[in-house]
Amino acid sequence: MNQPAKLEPIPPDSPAIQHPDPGAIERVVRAPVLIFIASAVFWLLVSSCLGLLASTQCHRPGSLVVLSDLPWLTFGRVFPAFQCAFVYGWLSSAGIGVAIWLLSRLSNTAYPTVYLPVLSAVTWNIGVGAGILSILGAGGNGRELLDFPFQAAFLLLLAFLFFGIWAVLVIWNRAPDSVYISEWYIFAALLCFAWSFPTANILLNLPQSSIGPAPGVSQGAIHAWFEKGLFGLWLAPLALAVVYYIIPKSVEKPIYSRKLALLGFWAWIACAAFGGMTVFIGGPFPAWMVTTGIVANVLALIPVLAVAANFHMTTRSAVEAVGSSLVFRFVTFGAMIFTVYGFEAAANSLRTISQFTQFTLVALGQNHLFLYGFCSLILFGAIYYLVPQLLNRPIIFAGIANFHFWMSVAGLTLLWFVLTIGGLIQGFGLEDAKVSMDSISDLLKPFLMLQSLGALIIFVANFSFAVAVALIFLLPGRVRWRSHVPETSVERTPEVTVA
Amino acid sequence: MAFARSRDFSGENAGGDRRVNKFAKLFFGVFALFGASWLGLVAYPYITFAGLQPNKDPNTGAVAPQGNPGTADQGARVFAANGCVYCHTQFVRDRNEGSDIERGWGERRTVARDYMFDRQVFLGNARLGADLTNVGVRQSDPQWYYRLLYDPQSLHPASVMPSFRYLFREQRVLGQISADALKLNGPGAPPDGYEIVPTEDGKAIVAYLLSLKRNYALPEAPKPAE
Repeated sequence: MNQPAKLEPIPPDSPAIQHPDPGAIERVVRAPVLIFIASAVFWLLVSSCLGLLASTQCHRPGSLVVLSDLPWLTFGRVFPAFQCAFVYGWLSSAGIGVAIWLLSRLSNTAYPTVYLPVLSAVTWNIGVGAGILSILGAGGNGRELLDFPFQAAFLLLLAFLFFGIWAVLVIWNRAPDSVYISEWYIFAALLCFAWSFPTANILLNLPQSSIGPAPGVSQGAIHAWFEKGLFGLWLAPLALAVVYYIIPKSVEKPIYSRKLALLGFWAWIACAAFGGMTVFIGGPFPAWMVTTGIVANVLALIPVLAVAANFHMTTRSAVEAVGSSLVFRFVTFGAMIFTVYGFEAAANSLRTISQFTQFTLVALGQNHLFLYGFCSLILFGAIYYLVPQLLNRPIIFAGIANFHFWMSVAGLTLLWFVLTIGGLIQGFGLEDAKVSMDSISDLLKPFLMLQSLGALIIFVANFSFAVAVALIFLLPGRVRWRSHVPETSVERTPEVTVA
Repeated sequence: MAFARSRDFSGENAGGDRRVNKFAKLFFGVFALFGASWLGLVAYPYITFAGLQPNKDPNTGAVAPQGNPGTADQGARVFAANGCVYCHTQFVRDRNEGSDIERGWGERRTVARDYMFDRQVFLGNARLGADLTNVGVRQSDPQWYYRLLYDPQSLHPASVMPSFRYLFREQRVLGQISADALKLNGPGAPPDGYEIVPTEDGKAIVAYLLSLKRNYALPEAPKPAE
């Protein structure tokens, strides 16, 4: 047995060891997982189109004159629609889909109710679609990532509850063996989203109620709290859960240190919960609120480094052997970008640095690093791992997927450099009152054009991803179920276990 | 279901209880940490800022800030729905925090009381365009706003602001030219006998922008020394 930190020995006749039918879990959760993943890919394409459109409007506001007569294609609607399609349509759907499978696999339970997650997938997609159409149709709230009108947000919440209830039932009925760190991350993500999403929508977006909208600038604080929670305590844990599953699985070794994993988990939860207010440095808030955020973002380096060290030590001697694996490459690259993001977020929080980066494109670049570099790359890897396995088709279109990998890395790198350098120029300009806003716009033009090039490369990458996934879905393969799934059976699941 | 783990197979309930304990620890740990941030960043500001009172000047008896007119509230909806906040902030930092005051975006930093009557607060986090905290002080002529919204590059050639032509409509001149008709010359001008006027949304958003004046004195934010 490869499970280092177990408290109680597994009885030899435990169902965890003598699994009657290892393929059963895949068979049971196949439908909801595939629905979530397929719709996630669809929303990724939608958001790529919207993102490209938003980006081109930035540097050629006058040239596409026709757009100024089409209110639903104006930048101020396309940009939030792009963000919401990306975060709720792509990342959250894919994250939930992968989490459904991970939870079942790690709990070693094929909980028989798949109606709840299927219902969840359908409701979630209706909510995202309705929300994006409302934003384009002037129904947006003008709050970043809370732009969906409350009716659409309610559908998302309902869908989330269907999934959440199912997830709790699975955890409740789990096989009596160890708890995996991936499950901890998913559980924390569930709890935090269930708390922050309704709180923010009730306090900020309900048109008229006894407790909302929240008074004055508390709206800003609640919004910052929500947004940091959405990134740090919903998307990040879902992505980290995947890394903690895929990396040990790929190198066939348990996670290096259980203590580091626990430190990384708890310290990250604490820091991410408090780190939101740094966007309002100099804003109309009591100083301690902003200072707490700065301290939290700097302290977040501890969990970021703990996670990085753990992954590094786990993969250290095995990188050669599995370096060619596409899934492993996506996931480790995403995990490394998490470290880079941690350093950038800490740096941009410091007052001396934020003086030149606040309000600029640097912050946009940092978001791309997190949402595309970290979360998306990891989910790409998870989907390439999962879909062939769920459909029992060993084919993965390596050529297309390889092209996808390099295009995403190239697009992201270009985008990040362009936004960071352009943003710093913008920041130094904003800092000097003698530089007029007009000359800053002039200086930014070439960077905004290069941003569109980056967006175009990422569009191509996402499109090739969709083609690769569609081919796996559509081409008929062996549909017979494997009688034995060695790489996922419990005997050889070498993740770290906790508690 | 063909396979479902038989729950009594583990033989005893002790294992089950331990399972619950593990997740109970996890649940209460995350609950406590996230709950602490909820107390600090949601509950505390909610209660504190709900209790704000406007400032009454002891000498003149003037009360500030004052509530907004209804058209401004309606305009705030248009401002929100068209995503203006994605490029324009509405807060002024102190002199030692940035160049906002030097740029003429305000005479003092903004504080919580400045926003106490706003139904929706647009602090924002990006400055691709100018800060709008006091735009109503800087520009008091509605025509300037109409021209900016209709054709931003005619006022700021390098600007990346999109045109909001859909907030205007062309109509036949009936008798007098309307007071708020756009004064356009050259190729963009409407044909003879027609004029371009703002729609209801266009008027509302300009009323909102005109209402953005946080230039009264507040004791907690004195004007900084030069």
